[in-house]
Amino acid sequence: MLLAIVLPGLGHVSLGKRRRGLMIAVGVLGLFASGLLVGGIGSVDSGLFFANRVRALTGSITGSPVKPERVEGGEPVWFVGQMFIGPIAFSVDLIHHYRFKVRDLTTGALRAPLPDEGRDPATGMSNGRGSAVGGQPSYRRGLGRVGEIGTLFCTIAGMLNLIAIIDAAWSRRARPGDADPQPKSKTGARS
Amino acid sequence: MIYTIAHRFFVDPIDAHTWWWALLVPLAVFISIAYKAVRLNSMAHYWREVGIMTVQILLGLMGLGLLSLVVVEVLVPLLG
Repeated sequence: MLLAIVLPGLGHVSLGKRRRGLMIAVGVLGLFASGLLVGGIGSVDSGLFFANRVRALTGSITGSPVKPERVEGGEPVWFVGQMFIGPIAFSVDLIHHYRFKVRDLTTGALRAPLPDEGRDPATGMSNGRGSAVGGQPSYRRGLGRVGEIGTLFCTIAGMLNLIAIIDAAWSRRARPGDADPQPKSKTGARS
Repeated sequence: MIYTIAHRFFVDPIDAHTWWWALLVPLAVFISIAYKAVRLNSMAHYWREVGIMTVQILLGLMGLGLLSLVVVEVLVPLLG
């Protein structure tokens, strides 16, 4: 089950169901990559909802309260589905927040850049309107149907992987074609 | 000032505002590939099953679209 969470299809591969695992990986990761291709990196945006909860929990355990990261916007409800893709979804989400979003000069919150707003790559701070190199911000947010479809693709990919995780963890039924064909012994003896 | 903005794959969204409906095809294909890999008892006719499910999803979506069209364009005006 843990392997199925780490990488889509890996749970089935570890159970000897190599073809099933490969097809699950193709389906789930193909859908996730298509979502990013259609809607851009803005399709995966938890608003650091979960990262802030982990920070708060860690702070309460260690006794040193940690200030939560301020984020404007975000779609944590959609990310609930997307997170079942595993570390890949969390990595994309963190890259989106810390490599592409700009930190607002007045509030200090992370947010999507305005159309002509530049970003300081070292600090992530906004360089203000009209400062984007070539008029191009660090990324553009998907709007309308394209943004919706990108988010939908990534969320369905996560929900499909949840089905695969459950199947890898609890389905113990032997199914024909599951195991990869074994080479026949010359004597014909069965192990 | 007008800039020519380069597209960055996987970072910027694609301009699919006029043909967004065509994206339902890869959606249906990838869903079928992953779902049938989990669901089928035998992988013998895997790709045939994937094809059937893809067509079923697409026909279902078209049917729902048609139903919505009938409700909005025919039934609702009759009520008014």
